[in-house]
Amino acid sequence: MIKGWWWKFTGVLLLLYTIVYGLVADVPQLNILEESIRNLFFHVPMWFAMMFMMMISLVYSIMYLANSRGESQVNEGLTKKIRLDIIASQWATVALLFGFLGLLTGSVWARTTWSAWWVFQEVKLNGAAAGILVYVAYFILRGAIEDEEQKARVAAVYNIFAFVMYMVLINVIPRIVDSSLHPGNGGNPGFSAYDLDSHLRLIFYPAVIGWILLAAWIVDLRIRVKKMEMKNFYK
Amino acid sequence: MNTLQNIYHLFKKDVTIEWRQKSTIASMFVYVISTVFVIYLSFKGELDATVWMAIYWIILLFVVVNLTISAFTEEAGRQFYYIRSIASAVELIGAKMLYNAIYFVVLSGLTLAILALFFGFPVENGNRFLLVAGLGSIGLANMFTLLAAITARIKNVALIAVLGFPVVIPLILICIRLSGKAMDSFFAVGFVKEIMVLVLLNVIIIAMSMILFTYLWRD
Repeated sequence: MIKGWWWKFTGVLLLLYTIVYGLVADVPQLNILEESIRNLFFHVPMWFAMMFMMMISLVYSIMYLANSRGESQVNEGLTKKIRLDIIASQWATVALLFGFLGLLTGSVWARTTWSAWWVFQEVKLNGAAAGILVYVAYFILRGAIEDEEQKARVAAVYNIFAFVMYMVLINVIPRIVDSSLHPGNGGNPGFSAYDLDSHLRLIFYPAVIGWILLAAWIVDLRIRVKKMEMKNFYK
Repeated sequence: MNTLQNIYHLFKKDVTIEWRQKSTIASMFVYVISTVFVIYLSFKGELDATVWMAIYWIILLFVVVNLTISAFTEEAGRQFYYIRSIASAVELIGAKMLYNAIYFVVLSGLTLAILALFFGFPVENGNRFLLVAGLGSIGLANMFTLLAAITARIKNVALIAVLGFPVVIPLILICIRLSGKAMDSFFAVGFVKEIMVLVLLNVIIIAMSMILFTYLWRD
């Protein structure tokens, strides 16, 4: 992980800005959406952060499989391979957490704008639910294997395969189906159409970065805890 | 050339073993027939076209799990070191995928025939539907072959459905959509474009399986 405290500090600052300014700033007054448009700073960054974390987890899984001499490189009492696996799995854990938060915030938003907690015909909702299932399956797989080395290898293989299939699900299928209630899909105008003076962007982009930094902080702590656990395990 | 020969020999070995144990072939056939019969009784003999199609793909999902679940139990168990010494990982997964794909295309054809026998065949463009069913079956068989390799390696074959059902969703969705287009010419616009997506997905599955299995198969 990145050394130092500056990025954690930046993350907290950006989130404070997001929460305070996101709740008090002037927003476009639109029918149906009304004040719920502020959820843009909370719901959408959850998915951005989740995708970002899934990608990092994927990169570490690939690094795990590609690394052939990691068994002998021992640092802090753990081999390099085990450390790569810890990092991949912890990013995936927090990605799952943000996926749940994304579903939760999305569900609340759907209740106010589409007047239903869940819409079954919506491709994006189905994709999100499937993504959650994929990562739950990933953790079930990890839980089912005793041997640490085998767990790491098999989990990396499944992580890569599942990620590719998930990308097909959320990038290819919605383009084919092309019927969605979400803004910017299925012929609906995107948020850029409402955001004529780029006012929303001024809060939205800091929000995305802030949530990602918060996620990274959580992952950082989890990795450190996990490494300590594993070191005691190998003693 | 040597790779192809090895794939052929491994493939032939699987066919021979399966042919000698005719009870497993019979059990797959009975599984398909009894599933359709249970559905026939549950739905009181009538299905409308959309439900017919969804039922068809769901049956295929369960049949493919049943077919591939034990694909690697021998290879990952007693024969592990022997197989490793005579064939590379790519050859083994290639042979298994070929075998499962051919077997499963036969089984899905059988499912289709029995489903048509019980509920009729509500499809307008039969050729297109068969094309989708064939490509979809190959994709399902290949995807579950990799998952069977994972579950066989960890000696926990029962996990295959838990691991497989979330990742199979994109494939199943495309197949259901395409067979819907074959079923009713009113929705047929864009069929050719979307069949290319299905072909591409098949290629991705095969390539991913070959690459990932190499890592899975290390000791």
